Amino acid sequence: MPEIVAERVELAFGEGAARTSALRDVNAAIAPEAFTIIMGPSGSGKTSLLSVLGALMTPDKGRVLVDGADLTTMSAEQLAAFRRKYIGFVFQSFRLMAGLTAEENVRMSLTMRGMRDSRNHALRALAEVGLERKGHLKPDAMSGGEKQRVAVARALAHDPMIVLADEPTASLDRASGLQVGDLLKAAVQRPGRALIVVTHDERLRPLADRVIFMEDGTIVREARKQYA
Amino acid sequence: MALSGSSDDDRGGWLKIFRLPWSLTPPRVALARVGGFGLPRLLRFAGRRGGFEVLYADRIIYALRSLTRARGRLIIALTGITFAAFLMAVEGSLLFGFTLAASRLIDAVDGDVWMVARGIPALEFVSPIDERFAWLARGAPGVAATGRGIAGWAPFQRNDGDRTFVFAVGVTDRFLGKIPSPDEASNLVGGRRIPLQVDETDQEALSDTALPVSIQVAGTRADLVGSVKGFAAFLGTPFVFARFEDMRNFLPYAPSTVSFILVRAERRFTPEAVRNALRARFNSVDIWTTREFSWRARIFWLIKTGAGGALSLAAILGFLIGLSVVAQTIYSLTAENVEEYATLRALGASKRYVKSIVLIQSLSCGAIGTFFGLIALGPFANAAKAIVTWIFVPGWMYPLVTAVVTLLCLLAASIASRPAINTEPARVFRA
Repeated sequence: MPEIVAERVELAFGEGAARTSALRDVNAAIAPEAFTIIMGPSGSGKTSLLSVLGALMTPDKGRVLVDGADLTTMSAEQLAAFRRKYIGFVFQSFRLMAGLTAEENVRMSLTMRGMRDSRNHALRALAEVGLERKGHLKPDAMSGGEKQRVAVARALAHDPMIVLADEPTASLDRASGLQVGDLLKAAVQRPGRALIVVTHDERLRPLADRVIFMEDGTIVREARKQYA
Repeated sequence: MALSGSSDDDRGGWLKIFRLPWSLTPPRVALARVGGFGLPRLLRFAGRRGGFEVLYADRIIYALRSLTRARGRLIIALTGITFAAFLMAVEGSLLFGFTLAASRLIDAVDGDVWMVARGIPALEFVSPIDERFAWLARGAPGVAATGRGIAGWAPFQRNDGDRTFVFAVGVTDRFLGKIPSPDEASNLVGGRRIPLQVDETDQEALSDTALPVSIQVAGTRADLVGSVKGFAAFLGTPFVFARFEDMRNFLPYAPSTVSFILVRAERRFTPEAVRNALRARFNSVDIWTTREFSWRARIFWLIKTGAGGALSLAAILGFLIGLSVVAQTIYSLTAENVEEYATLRALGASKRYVKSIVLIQSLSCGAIGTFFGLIALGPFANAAKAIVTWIFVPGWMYPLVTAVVTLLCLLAASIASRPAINTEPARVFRA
């Protein structure tokens, strides 16, 4: 069961006078079996923190530990292998492969991970998000809500320990947004799973176990479920 | 258990191709494990219900769908690669045809060893040597028989009075090989005193009427009795074939001189052994095996003359143009999909995985482009023979161009995959 820990994490972009700090001395510990939301205004460092926790970026300073494994010491290929094995991603703009059907999008994610019998796994994952009859459709033939559900199926199909979502409901209408929120919430109900969502969507707040508020690259406030 | 990054085998696929009864498992497993012998492993057994899966199928399907999604760009890419393959094949055929034409007479003669005047680079530059070398050579070990030939440039007057130059060749009968025999053609038209033959492509240059026709070579009346195939002039001056005995009528050769002497080796001697034996005896002439003299002539025409140099340069430029077209095409296709590659990288695809997709796209474009380029080659070469008579497409040109384009595609893929594998995976969070 992974515990995700960020220790004194700092991250900056640009060079010289144009250098901008995205994360300043961030400390956070996210327990498994938690639905954590990161909120804050634009430019507050939410997505940067998600990138660092998701092994997509290596911080300039500090450490990121996932169940004791230090991501900051890993090479780019080791980080890719780490993401492949342990993380599922959901993106604001879906990021499905335009040339593949819904089923193929999910299967590609599975075969990339060396999973056998990927077809049955993919169909099961699509069924879990209510798209068992739409596996043959390509993304451009689907609504935004359906695309995001395919993306959720892709993220969850290999049963990752950590699911990271960046504004997963931003492009969706109210009904679709709530549906996606529920699907993600259901994913974290499995033992030892952690879900971290960056969002501005207040509708997701009641679903979260914990809310982290960020401003100017630092965590300014936290709220646990009883206060959310 | 602590989590850690690892480099798992990321191969996978879903294309189920067949199912066999469970009792056939051992051969199925054996087939799926051909990779154990160093061959690419293409199949994987996915369980009794799953049957076989084709490994890499996910990448193949994704790569091909990505290609076909942008049809306009794909057509441009395929056109570019088709043209590149076609250009390389045409340039190669021109170059090879030129080398064949440069040594055609040497290769046609039925002799194992040549004796020519010292320093002669090609048959077109022969000068007189003593005929007695032919008799003397018979005493050398390994020599079965010797023959003689006279060749050279001669003024030619057509039946209508127009004048030109021809390259006249005459070889003693037993050494003619594939060299045309004017006697045979002469018999077909009732016999002529001095019969000559010319390649059909040069016939119009030497006669404005149907054959046979009376003409003059170096002021001597003779008859052009027939045409042959496969001896088109590559320098623009027609080859004219005469009997050896008639050649001294056309060229200023004394009765005791010839242009070259041909030697046939005994069966138990190699041409090289006979050449060495002759070289030990005669140092006032050059002695080459037929293969050496042929190669010497090709190299001379290729390197020492502007024509061959231009063709060689054109062939090299064809290769470079092919490389740039293929590389640019694959690079732009890859750059167009860089966002999807970033997504794959974010999802955990290894560099090898992404590279393999670019490689599949590159090789697919290369295969299709090569197919169309080579389909056009044969008809084009036939049509081009009206202008360039010596263009020749050898059978091996097809696999050679395929191999070269494959190599270009591998190079192009390695260049083009850089933006794909170096793309920042964190960009996936940008909306």
